[in-house]
Amino acid sequence: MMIKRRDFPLRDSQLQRYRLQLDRRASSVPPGDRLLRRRGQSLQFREYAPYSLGDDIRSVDWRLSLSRGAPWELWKKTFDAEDAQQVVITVDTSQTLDGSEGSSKRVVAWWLAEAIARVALLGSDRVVLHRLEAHQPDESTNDSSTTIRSRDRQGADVSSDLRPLSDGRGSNLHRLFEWRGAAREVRSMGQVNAHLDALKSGTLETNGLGVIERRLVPTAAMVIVSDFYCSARHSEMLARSVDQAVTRRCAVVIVELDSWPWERSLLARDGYLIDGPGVSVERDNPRYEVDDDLIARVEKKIADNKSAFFRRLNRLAAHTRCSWPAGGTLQPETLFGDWFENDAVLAKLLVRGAS
Amino acid sequence: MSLGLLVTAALGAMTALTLNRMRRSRFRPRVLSTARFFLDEPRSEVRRRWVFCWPRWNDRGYQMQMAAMACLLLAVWLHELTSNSDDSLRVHVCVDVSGSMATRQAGVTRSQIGFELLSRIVDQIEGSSAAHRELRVSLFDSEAEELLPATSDSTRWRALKSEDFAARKLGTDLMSLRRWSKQPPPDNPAWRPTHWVVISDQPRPQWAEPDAELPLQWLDVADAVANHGVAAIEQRRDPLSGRVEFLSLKLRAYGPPPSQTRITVTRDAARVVHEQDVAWDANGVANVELSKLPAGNYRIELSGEDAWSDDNLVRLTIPDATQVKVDWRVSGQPLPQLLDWEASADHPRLVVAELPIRNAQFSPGLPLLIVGNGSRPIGPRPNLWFFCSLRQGSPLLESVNLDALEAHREAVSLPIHELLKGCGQPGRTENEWQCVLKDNNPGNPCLATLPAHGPWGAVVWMPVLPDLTRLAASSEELAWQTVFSNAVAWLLAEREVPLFELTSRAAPEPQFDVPPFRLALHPDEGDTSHQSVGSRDFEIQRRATPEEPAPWWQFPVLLALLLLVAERVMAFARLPVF
Repeated sequence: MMIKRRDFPLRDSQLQRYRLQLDRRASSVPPGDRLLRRRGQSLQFREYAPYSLGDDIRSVDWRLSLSRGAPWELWKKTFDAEDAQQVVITVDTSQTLDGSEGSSKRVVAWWLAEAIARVALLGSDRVVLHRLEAHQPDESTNDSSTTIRSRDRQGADVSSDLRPLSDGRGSNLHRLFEWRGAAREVRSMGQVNAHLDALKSGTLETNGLGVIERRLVPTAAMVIVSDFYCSARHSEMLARSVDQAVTRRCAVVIVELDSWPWERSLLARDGYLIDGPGVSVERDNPRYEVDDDLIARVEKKIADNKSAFFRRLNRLAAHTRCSWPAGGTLQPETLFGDWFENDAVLAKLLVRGAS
Repeated sequence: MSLGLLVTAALGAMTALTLNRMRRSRFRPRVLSTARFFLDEPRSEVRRRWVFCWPRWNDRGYQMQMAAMACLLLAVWLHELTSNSDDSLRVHVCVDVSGSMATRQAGVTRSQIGFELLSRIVDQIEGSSAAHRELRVSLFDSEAEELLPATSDSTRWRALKSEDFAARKLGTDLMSLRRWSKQPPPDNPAWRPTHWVVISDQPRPQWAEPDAELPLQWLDVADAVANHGVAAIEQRRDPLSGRVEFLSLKLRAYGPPPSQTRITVTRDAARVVHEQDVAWDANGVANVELSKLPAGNYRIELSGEDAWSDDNLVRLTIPDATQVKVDWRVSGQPLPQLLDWEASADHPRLVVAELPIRNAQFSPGLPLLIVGNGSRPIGPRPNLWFFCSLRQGSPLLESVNLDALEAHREAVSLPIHELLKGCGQPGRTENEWQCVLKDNNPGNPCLATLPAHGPWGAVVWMPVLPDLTRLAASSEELAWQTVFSNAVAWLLAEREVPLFELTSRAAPEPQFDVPPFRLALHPDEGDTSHQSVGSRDFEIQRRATPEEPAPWWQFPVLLALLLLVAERVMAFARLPVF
C-alpha cells in the first residue's frame, strides 16, 4: 500500500515538544542496560579519578593534585565518550500487516518508524530506516534496498544502502546479520522523508546491506516494528537474530503491533470463511463455526506464539505493545497522544544522557 | 405475445437474478492477519449453506445480467413506443354511391345517412388529440375513385357537400373497392391510412371481417325496407334469326310484398299489350312471361310506391329480326330456302362462302362463314386424323360429339394463311385466328374463328358444309350439322341488338325516352332486405393498419445478448472482475 507523506499525522512542532519533554526528564529515566553512555575521550568532563600507572599523563589535573597536598598523589580528569547513537529502525512489511480488515497496521508501522526517526534525529542520533520484506522467495531484486544520498553537516556526500534479506522461505528476520552493504548517516528531516518515500514506493536501487551490520555496534539501538504473527519457526529465527544483535551489545527494542483485539471483535457466534496470510481458501477450506471456545483457543495460540518469542528476549530486548482498540481503527491521537508519548520503552530508547 | 407478458417475463427474470444474487454463503468472509492461527481448528462440516442478504451491487456479473434484462425491457418499451409513436391520424373513408344508396329509409336516402356519418367522422378527427390529422375520401360503385385526396386541411373536409355523395345509377363492385384499398394514392404512394372506414349499404364481405386481411371499419347504413321491382329479364331468341321468341320478367318483393301490384306492358305509343296483377309467392317472387312480342319499343311498369324506384320501370326494344338475309356463295346447296333465309346480296346479315375463294369481295362488318368445297374431300387422306387440340368452351363445339367429328374422314384442314387470304380481310394477322380444332398432321386448323375486330366482322372456318336437306344419317353428319348451327348462331349473335343497355361509368344516367334504352337494373341493387348489424359509430381508437415499428428495438436486444454472452464467458473464464 502506498503511503503518502502527508499521511503522517504529527507536525514538527509536536515532535520537538516531545523531544524537549524527553530531555527534560532525562535524569529521571531509569538507565537501561544498553543505553548507558560509556566513558571515553571527549570534551564532556565526567569526573576526577586517581591517576594510575599507564594512564595518559596529559589527563593529570596538576592544580588539583597540588591542592590535595598528598605527595605523589595525582588526580586525572575523565570525559564522556561522544559517540552518537545509531538507531536502526526496521519495519516489517510482511503480509500480515495487510491481512486484517481495517486495522491499517502497515500505516501505523510507518508512522511509528517516522516518529522514532524524527525524534532520534532531533537528538542528533543517527538513523537508519529499513524496510524488511518477507515472503519474497528467490527474488533478491524484490527486496527493498534503498540508497539515500544527502549531505552531512560537513557537506560530505553520504549514502545509506539498505537491503532486506530473503532466505526464500518467508520471513527474513532470522538472516538479519547476513546483511551486506554500506550505510551513511542520515541526519536531516528531509533525508528521512525522502528515505521513507523511497522505501514505500520501492523505487530505489538495491544494494548490499552491510551498513546495517556495521551500524549495529555497541550503543546502537535496533527497533523492530512488527505484529509478530509469524510462524513459530520464524519466531525462533527472529529470536536468534536478536540474540546476535544483543551479543554485539546493541539495544533491541521490539514494538509490537497487536491487532488481535480488533480482529476478535470482527468475529461473533456465526459461520466465517477466514482468509488471510498463509491461508488458501481452496486448499484449506477455512470455514469455521466460531464460538467462544474457538476464540479462546486461537487467542491462546497467538499468545503462546508471542510469549515463546518474548520470553526468550525477556532480558535481552525491551518490548512495548501498540494495541488496536476493539471498536475500530487506531486513531492518530490515541496512538501518539496516549501511547507513544507516554511509553517508557520508547523514551528510554530516545533519551540522551540517561545514566 | 402481449406487451404485458413480455414485461412480466423480463421483470421476473430480473427478480430471479436478484434473488439468486441474494444467496450468500452462510460463512461470512473475514480477512484476518491472524488467519493462520485458525488453521488447526476444526472446520465446519457444511461447505455450502446459504442465507439471503442484499445483493452485492458492485458485482460485475450481476451488473451485466441486470443490464441485459434492462436492455430487454428497453427493447420491449421501444417496440411499443415506436409502434405507437406515430401520433398521426390518417383516415381513409370510402363511401358507397351505387344506385342502391338512393334507397329511402326513414324519410331520407342512404346517401344522406352516409354523409351524416362522414360528418361525424370529420368531427371526431377534428376533436382528436393527434398531432397530425389527414382525411382522404373515396367513392365507389362499380369502380372506385378519389373524391378528396389525403389532406390535413380541415376546411376542405368541411367543404364536402351532400351532393358529392348522391347515389349514381350504377351497380356495386366490392372487389373494385378491395383493389382500390390496396392502391396507394397516386400523388402520395407512401401514404398509409391509420383508419380505413367504408360507408355502404352492402353487408360486410368476408374479406372485410375484423380479423381478415384488411381490417377496416364497415359502417353499414342499410335498414331493411320494403321494395319491389324487376329483378331480372330473361329472353330466348331464335339462334339463327335472333328473333326474340320469349321474354321472362323476374319480379322480387323485398320485405312484405305490396297487397296489390300491377304490371303494365306498353308498346310504342302507349299501346297496352299486356296487363296483369302480380301474384307474389311466399318468397316474394313473381314471374311474368311475355311471348310473341312484335318488334317495337316497350315500357314495362310496376305500380306501387316503394323505397327504390329504379327497378319499377323498364324500357326495352324488341328488334325486327324475323328473316335472315344471307349472301349465299355456295354452289349446289339449297340451304337458304330450307332455312327460310332470304338470299340477298344487298344488305345481308351473313355471308357464306365456299373454298376456294378467288378475288372475293366482302363488305366490311359482315359475318363470314367459310366452308370447304362441299362434301368432297380436297385431297386423298390415307390416314385417320384426329384433333391434336381443341378450344375448351368454344360456342362452336356446344353439344357436338367430338368422336364423330374425328371419325369424319372427309374433313380437311387449311393453313392459316390460306384462310386469311380467302376471308378477304386485309391487315389481319394469323395470330388473330382462334383455332377451335386443329389437325394433327400437318397441324392446320380444321375449325377456327376470327373474332370481329375493327371494321371487319367475325369469320368462321369449317371444312365441310353438312347436308341439311335430310335428316342426319350418321353421327358424323349430325356433328357437322351441329357445328354449322353453332357457327351461324355465333356469327349472328355478334350482330344481335340488345333489348336494353345498363348504365355504366361512361353512360351513368338511365335513358327511357329514345332507344337504345339504358336501365339501372344492376344485380342486387334493389335488394333492400338487408338490415345492418353492429355499430355505425366510427371508432377512432381502432387503428386499421398498425404502423410497422421502427427497428430500434433490435439494438437493445442485440446488446442484451452480447452482455449475456460476455457475462457467461467472463464467468467461465473466471476473470478477475468476478
